Amino acid sequence: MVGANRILRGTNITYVIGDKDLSKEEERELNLKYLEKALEILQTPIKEQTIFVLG
Amino acid sequence: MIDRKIRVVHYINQFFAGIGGEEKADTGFSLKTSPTGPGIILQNELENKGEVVSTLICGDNYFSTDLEKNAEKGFRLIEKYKPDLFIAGPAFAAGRYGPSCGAMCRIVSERLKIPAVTAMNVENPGVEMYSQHTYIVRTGVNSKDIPDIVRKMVKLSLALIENKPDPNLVPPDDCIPSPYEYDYFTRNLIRNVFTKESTAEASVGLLIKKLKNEPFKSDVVKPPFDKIKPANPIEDMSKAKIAFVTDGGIVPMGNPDGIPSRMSTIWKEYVIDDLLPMEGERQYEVSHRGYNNFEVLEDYNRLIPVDHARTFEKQGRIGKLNPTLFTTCGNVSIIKKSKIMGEEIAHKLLEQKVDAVILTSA
Amino acid sequence: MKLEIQNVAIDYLISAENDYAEKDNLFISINALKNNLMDDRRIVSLDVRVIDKDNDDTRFVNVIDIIQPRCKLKGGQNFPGFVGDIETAGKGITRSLDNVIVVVCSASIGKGRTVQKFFDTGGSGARLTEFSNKNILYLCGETAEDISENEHEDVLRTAGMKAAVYLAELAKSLKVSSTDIYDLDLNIKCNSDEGLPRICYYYQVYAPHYDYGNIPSKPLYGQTVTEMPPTILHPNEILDGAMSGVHIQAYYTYDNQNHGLIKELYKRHINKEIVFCGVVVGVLSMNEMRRGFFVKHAGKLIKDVLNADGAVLTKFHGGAAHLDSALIAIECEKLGVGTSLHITPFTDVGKLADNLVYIDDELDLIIAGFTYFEPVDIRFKYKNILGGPPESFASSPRAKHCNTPLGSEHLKIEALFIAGYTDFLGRTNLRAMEY
Repeated sequence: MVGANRILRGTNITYVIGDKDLSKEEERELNLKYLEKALEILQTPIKEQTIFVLG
Repeated sequence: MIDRKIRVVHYINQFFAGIGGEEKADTGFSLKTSPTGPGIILQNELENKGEVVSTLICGDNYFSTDLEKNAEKGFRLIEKYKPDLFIAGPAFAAGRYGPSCGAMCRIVSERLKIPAVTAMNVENPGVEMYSQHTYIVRTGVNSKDIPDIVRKMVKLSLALIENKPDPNLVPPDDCIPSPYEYDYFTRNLIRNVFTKESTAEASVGLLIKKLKNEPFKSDVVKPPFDKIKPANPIEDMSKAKIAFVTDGGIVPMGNPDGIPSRMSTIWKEYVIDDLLPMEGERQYEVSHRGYNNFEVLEDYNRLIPVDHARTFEKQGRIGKLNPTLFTTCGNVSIIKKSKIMGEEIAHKLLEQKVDAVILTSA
Repeated sequence: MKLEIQNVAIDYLISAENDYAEKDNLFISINALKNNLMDDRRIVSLDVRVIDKDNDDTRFVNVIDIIQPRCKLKGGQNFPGFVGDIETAGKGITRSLDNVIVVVCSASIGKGRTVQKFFDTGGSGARLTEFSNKNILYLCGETAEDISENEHEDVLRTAGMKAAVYLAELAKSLKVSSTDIYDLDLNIKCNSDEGLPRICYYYQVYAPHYDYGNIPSKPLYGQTVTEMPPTILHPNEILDGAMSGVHIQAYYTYDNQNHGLIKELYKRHINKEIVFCGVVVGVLSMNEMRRGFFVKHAGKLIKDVLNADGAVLTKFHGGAAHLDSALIAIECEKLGVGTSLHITPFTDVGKLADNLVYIDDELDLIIAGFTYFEPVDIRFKYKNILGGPPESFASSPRAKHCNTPLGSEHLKIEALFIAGYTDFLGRTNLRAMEY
């Protein structure tokens, strides 16, 4: 955690923004949610290192 | 090992040469063919094992205005003496003298491949600048300690010249004198060392001390990490250029640029449409060996949400998706090197007028 | 639970027509042993050899496990769950042979594996490992076509364990040279020594994302431990065959049988410096929520069930594993349990602290066991190379960070790949130091 200030928790080490236990469609949905969340975080003001979750 | 008398060249500043104090700090280089100032103590300590054949002198201000250039100058003045050993200082806490000694030691040891030893206090900026390039014996702040320090410097020098393998180390680097025995600043290396007690014995012993509130020494002491001020948020995403960066090690098939599977110090930039086309055969592979690549090889979106990002760009939800991906392998990376890579990538991103980055990490 | 280990010091292991034991020597019929082991139909062919302790000509590559010959005399099953039926290990009497090891190698170079260990019985690398001066029963083989890479290793490992039992049983007429007693009751009422610190051991035994074959290891009584919540074990179980080596090459069966930290904690316990209050084994979960639960649960077991004042924690390999053990250590500290956390740096340059993946002020005692990738130069004019072809690399072929093939007489390799030189579990006399 050396320099990252906006951090979004992913699913898993081997499938960071996916989930192999979901169906293809469900996984695409999840992937979409991650991207949307990432873009939301980029538009969020923060004062210090903050960890976000998909919520 | 040297069978004859060791030829020593010594570097000192204008003060220790007797030229003058601060008012003479702008003096340029001069040479003497005999031990001078603390060099006399050095010669006494060497006894008949070595001879101080020359003393190089320079003013602290003069030298420190351009360390590299003056190190080069100084080197050219002394190389004709063909030394077996180079000694500088001791500089103690002197903030210009220290780096000057460090710079001289570095250039002489690199060019002539001989041991070079100096000595400084831990606060001296020369320690951070040069400890990995030469041997810097640890001193206090008091220059009255010169005889003791010179003794330590000579002891280390003789060990370096003897170049004897230490049975507690392994080749190829088994001739390094122990920084703990010879009391010099460590040179940014990490080595496995054979110890008297097993790791378990040491660990449990230290834990018992800790539990009894007795003083104990941890092997690893955490460094202070810089806090970095967060960047301002994007105002209007529909006008923003977003770039992807990853340390998950996605590379073109065949890994043509040879991004290593660990300890990578290189990153590369690849055109996303060529590397991760939505259709057709897979054009990428994964060089990162720190995780099972199976799932990412099945679907690159599991590491980088490229497909949705492409859609967002078409829909105008983001202004532009940067056409290139910056990739490296973040497996067992050295933090200093990662910082450098980050800076280099950041420069490129700024050149390409990227507004924000999504960095994914396995 | 009380375990008595009867140590029999073997002088020589010798290949002979028939099996017998005489005067500190074991004579073994290779054919008889082979026939015994080939009962497992999954084994297609076996190469079994004796390499005695005087040998200084052999390089063993692709070492997948090393096992100390042991057999139960009373009160348990041999390597329960692996060879014998499931029974709690660590009770009764076990015979253990000194100066003999079973070395199991995998003939194939290993597709996709990242760690293949090797060691030498001679040359400049022999002094780096205790395995070099032992009598060795070497085992390597081919398994059936339809067997996966990881199952292949497991089949050979089991054969190695059977061979280990076979050898130990063969020594029944030889004299016992020493006896070790491991007598510990985890029941808190029996440990009412006032004032002695109660110390337990947290043993991270597995992390699935390093298991390259996609078929998980089965290191605990022959069972998988993937996503297993933290569990209390009696230390005797680990010493007495409940735990084997793993695909990931984090440890061998031998490393568990001779577990450095467990033996050290026992020593201090017998010496009345501490109360050794138990072992918690845990694994790295691949799911973040479950990881959180495992961390809390480990803390609970350590603090509330084992009633520990202190804990030593080990982990193996990389960043995620480090993070996990650090989180458990922090949880312990929060609960008032002082910790000693073992890490292993990776680099040969930099500062030890550069290798910390997780920093917290609570973690004030961190042990640097060894650094993985210290370059080592080894020179050995070996006469025999066993376990694989000279073209083998210690790391999976595409990684090529060890830049010479294992068959090179002048081998440039990294510390991690030398079997017996580095040990995550505290046995070796090695530390990573800044230099």
